[in-house]
Amino acid sequence: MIEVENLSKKFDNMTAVDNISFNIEEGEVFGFVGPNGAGKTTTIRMLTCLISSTSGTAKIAGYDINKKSDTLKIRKMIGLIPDNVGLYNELSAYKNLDFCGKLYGMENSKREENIKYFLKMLGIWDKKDIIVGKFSKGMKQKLAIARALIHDPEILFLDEPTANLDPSSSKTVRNFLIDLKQENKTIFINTHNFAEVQQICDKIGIMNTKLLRVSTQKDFKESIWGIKTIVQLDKVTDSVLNALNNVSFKNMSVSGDKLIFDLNDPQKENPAIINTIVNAGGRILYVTKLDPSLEDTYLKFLREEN
Amino acid sequence: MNIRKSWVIAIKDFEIFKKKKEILMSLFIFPLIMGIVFPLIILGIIEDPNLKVHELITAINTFSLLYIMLPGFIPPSLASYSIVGEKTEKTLEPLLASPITDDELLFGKIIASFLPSIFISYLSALLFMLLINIFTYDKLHYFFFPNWNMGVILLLIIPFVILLSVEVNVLISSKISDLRTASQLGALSMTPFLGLYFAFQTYLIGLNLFNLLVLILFLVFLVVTLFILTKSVFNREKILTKWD
Ligand SMILES: Nc1ncnc2c1ncn2[C@@H]1O[C@H](COP(=O)(O)OP(=O)(O)OP(=O)(O)O)[C@@H](O)[C@H]1O
Ligand SMILES: [Mg+2]
Repeated sequence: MIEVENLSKKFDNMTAVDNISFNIEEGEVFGFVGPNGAGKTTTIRMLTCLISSTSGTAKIAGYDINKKSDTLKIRKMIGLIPDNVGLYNELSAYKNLDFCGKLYGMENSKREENIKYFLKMLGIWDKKDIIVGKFSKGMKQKLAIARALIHDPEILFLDEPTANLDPSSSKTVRNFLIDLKQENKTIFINTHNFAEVQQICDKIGIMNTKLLRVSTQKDFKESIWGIKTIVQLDKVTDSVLNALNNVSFKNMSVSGDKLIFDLNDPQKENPAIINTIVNAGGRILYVTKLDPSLEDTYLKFLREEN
Repeated sequence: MNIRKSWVIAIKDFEIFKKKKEILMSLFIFPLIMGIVFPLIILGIIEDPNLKVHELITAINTFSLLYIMLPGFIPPSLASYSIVGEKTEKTLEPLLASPITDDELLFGKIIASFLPSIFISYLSALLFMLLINIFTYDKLHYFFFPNWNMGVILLLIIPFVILLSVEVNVLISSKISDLRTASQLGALSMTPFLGLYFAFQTYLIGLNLFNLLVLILFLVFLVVTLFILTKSVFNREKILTKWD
């Protein structure tokens, strides 16, 4: 759905985005993370045809962002929530959406229907006639989401959609994104919120002017931490250690009453480990897979990069 | 180009203008001065029993001629708000992400400043002519307005002056990111009309048919040239990135 090829952007002599390439499939949720000034917003702006690329290209649903005749078609099928909500403070919530719907050339009945649907869905229908200037940040953010969706776009670009939201509002937004994912929308999210990425993104891209990594969350974590099984014992005895050494589980470490195994093929190795421990008279309390948070993984990754 | 989309943008701007006190105030100053204060000055002059009829007519014409220039001062506050406002309020990005072309946006912004300006100018002129007629009938024994001079100013000159002012201001506002500077520069750009006004006033240029035709051709030329210039500057990427 989104194919990016060697895309770069320079502002005067400063390179903001350096030769990035990646693909996002239809229905995928893509989380774009990276430090401040990494070029995430700049990338969204290029993909939404707001600014031109310096070199390279990208195709959105087959349309070329560099081709003038394609840009209108691209704009029709995408929805954007910019890093600033960009609503008209003097207009009511309803008028903001209505204005946007008209720009997309929507029929009156469809427009009214969608405005009602989204405002109800996001719980702000009863505030539809209040001017946006009087809205709280969270309400504005929700309205910005409604605006981005009003014309039924197939692809959504969100630039930090839950920045500034309280936990319950960000949860509403997150659940809403999960619903959209079920509708098979393709979603591109810039964010600093790893809980969000962990919960909704199929794939992540790590950006720091260059694109450092694109992978699924699982592959990313495994590449940083390896695949590890933790066995919590009642007590780590010599007989257990000897038995394990005999079967030569090389990548094993002991930490208190825990044994941590670095594995290649957990499906085969885990049962063997457990058998060995049990046969040596060890008492197993828990067996778990080491699952560090995405945030910790990301921080470790950045440390290793530097 | 889809004119309906330009309309949608202009109507949205009208609604915002209605809610902005500073803009409404700046708009209502014009009918107040041009439509009410000018006739009141004439009323003051008429009190003088020695006033000759031709002196009265010169005085009225002096004020009529101000209609060549003053309408040009209405668009700056509108145009600068309608464009710089989109930048400062950060509403430009979603607007530009929607399927409108640069031309549709530009045209919408021109309508948004042009129509209220022309409306206010005509409203002022109507008040002006009405009050002058009422105040001077006893002395002149005929209704001074409507007359040929004022008709030409209203129908042929004012629309061009306003259009020109709108274009200049759209041009300035696309380049400048702070509201005050934009509207001040805009007002400054109207000073050539001050020259025109004084030229008429001092009879350097008589308001005869030939001079009028030259003037209008010149205005058309300016309007077209400025439109081309504005169009080349009014580029979404430039407008979007030159301010952040
Ligand atoms: N219009 C512009 N003109 C000049 N430089 C710019 C412009 N827009 C962005 N930049 C620069 O490009 C770089 C990337 O900025 P960008 O906004 O894309 O980062 P980001 O990843 O979105 O950061 P953040 O997480 O803080 O939102 C920054 O160094 C920024 O200063
Ligand atoms: Mg950003």
